[in-house]
Amino acid sequence: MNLFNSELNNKIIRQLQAARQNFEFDQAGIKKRLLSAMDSPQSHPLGYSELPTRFTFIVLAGVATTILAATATFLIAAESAPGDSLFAVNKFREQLILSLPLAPQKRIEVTADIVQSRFEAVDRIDEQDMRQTGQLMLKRLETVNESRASFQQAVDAISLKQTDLEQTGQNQAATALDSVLSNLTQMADKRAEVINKWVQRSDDQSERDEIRSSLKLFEQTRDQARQQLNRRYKQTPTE
Amino acid sequence: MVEEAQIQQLVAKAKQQDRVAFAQIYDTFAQQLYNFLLGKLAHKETAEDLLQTVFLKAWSNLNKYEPRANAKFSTWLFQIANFTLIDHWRTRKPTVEINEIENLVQFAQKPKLYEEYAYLSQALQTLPLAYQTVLDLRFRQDLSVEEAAHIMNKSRVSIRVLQHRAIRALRKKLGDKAI
Repeated sequence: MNLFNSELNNKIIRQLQAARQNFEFDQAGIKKRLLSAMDSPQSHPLGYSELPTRFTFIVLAGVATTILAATATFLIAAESAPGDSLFAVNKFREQLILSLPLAPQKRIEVTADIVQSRFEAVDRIDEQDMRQTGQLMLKRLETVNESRASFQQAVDAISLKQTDLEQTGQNQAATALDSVLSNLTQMADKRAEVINKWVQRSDDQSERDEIRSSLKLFEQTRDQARQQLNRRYKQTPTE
Repeated sequence: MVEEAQIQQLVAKAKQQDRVAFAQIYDTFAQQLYNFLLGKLAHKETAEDLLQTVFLKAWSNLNKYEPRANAKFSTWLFQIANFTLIDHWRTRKPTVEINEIENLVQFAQKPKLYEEYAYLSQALQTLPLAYQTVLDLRFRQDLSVEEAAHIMNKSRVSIRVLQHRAIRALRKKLGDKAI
């Protein structure tokens, strides 16, 4: 059924594209009226002080709404995953926590927790019925992208911290971070297999291509983590 | 086809009150924007009025426009056109008079093509504005998901969801004609 629907969708898209054409209109007349209206002082591109625009109002209203609803919403949104309606709020909450002056070790812990929650979201989606529609495919895509982004953030943070610790001779602390990175890499291996399975099962070519391309980036991040671990293992003195 | 670099040069001049430069910008994009507006309004005079409004807003707000990497100037114009359309849509009568929906074949540059796909235009007209807009931007204007997202002020994923729903809704409207 999905294959049939996909074919129909593509047929409709082709019809939309085939029906494209230009329509006649009074191009010169409008230009004349436009240039005349541009002479009005209120339409001057410089030095025109406007009343608050619709866009400004929307932004201000949005900020006010966010502040008012923030506390309760953060609590409700804490469990939401990529693709959920409150995920953006959850993500904002996470970034807010990361922007606090945390101790470096704590920051890495928080980052690793975020990665874990993203990977768990991958698992939850995998449990859902694969025959469900494009909405689930889009949720999968967003989950892959968010997983990669948070994983990359964690790998970069850990790599940077380990370099700092090595340079200041704090080798034990640097070694402690190896296990964090190693755990994340192993978790990433499992999720890469799951995501690859989604690619194989999808019957929508464009979604398949998108997930495949996101998976490639995900695997690059995982390989970067592995390279960091290999570098550390090579230079750590053995007794 | 005018290159984006040339457009940006015109924009830079127009920002310095160069009306000739702005008139060239109008000449470059007027047809495309008119097609976009007419597709939703199905009324020539209203589309022409809104087209003038769009360019007037562009002229008035040029000082706020900042070129961005990977974003064309036309995307900004389409954004203005989209919001102008939404504002107009909110103020229009809930039921449009029959004589306000014109038979656009008389204005089509390829009347036969228009008649061949008239069923498609009629079905599109019955969809919500957001559905019409995403289908127009993606498949008539041939814009990328990223450009459509910027114009409609949504995320890329939201555009994909909207596109998926719009096609499904159109398919339902078309019924047998979709096959």
